[in-house]
Amino acid sequence: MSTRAAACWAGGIRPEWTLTVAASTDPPPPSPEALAALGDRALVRICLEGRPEAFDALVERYQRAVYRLCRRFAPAHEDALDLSQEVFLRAFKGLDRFRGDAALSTWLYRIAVNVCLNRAAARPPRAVPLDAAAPLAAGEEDAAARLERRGRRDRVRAAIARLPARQRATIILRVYHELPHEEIAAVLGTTVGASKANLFHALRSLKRRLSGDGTEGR
Amino acid sequence: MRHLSPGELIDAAEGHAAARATAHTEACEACRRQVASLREALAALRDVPDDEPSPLAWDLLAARIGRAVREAGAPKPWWAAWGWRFAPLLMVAVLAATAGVGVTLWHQRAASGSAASAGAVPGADEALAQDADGDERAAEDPSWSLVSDLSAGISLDDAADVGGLPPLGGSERALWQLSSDERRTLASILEAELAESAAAAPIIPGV
Ligand SMILES: [Zn+2]
Repeated sequence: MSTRAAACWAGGIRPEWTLTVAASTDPPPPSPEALAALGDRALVRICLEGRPEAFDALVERYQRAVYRLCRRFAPAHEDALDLSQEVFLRAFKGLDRFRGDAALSTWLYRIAVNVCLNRAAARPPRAVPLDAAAPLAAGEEDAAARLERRGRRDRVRAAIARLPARQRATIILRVYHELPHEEIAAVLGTTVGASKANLFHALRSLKRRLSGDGTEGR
Repeated sequence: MRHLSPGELIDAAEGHAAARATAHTEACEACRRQVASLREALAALRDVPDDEPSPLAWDLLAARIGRAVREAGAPKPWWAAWGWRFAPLLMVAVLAATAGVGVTLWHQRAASGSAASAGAVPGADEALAQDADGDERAAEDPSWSLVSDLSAGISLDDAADVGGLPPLGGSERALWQLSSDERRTLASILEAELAESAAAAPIIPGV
């Protein structure tokens, strides 16, 4: 309280100022539904203004694609969850470096491929024991067919895991995410020609490995 | 007759061959076999569907990421996030600047301030001469000793790995002209980022 105000009170004179309690002028935080309706760039901007709930909306939008990509690189579901979390955490920490000249999905794929390849480089591929693999959807397949199918899947996974990094990434983005070569080039920082060449060499190696004697061990 | 390039073979295998490629594969058995082989490989790969997690997995994953993101706090400014990548480079620049200052001052003292400042660190002379007494202030600044401690284990090869050695001149002048607050910030970034040495170099640059 100022000395003037104190003097006013002491002298029984009403002070000239009045105290007004005004509501904060900040708008209420947008609801999850409102955020979900916004475009990627708007969400990035809101997030950079210090509202992590905008990032939740981006996670909701892209977690399936990111998980699916990570799962193709990872030996198991739990690894893919860890990788997905790391991808989004890195994206969040580097969000102010996202330049709107590429789609956010391309940027996320780029981070995801980097995270997955780095993790794979740190931990070389190991053979996945058959019983550790996720269960196949229950159907009318008999046990033998199921086993055969699972074996084929594990052989394909193991063969992909042994490809050089860029070939592996190209195969996964092209075959399992159906990205056009232009977008693969943007994700991997390369050219359309290099993307096709990577795919060509990857397919040739895989064909040799899968139709060969089937020895995918060391 | 020129055979199809890998790119043309991929286009053909993916079902959008150019006219020349179509005409060629009709005439060339070798390329026709290559295209067929690529198609088989693609089909074998597509025959391995995604492992879909349980529908509940998405809520759990989103919650987990949400927690991690909030624990991480606000996004860092770009230069903090990139600090570790250029840390060795910065350290070499700091060492070069320190050496450059030493040489410059030695020259100045030896030549009694005549033409002594010529050329130890091209372009940096003027700033360095002005900051000659900052030299002693900096020597007492703990942030500098941290930078020099951290840089003790950095070889020139490490520096070259992160994009070549710095050109002499502007960069060390810029570093030398950092205020003591900025130097402390740089030192704390280097310390924090180097502590996270688990971060491997990205395979694709730029993220
Ligand atoms: Zn041919």
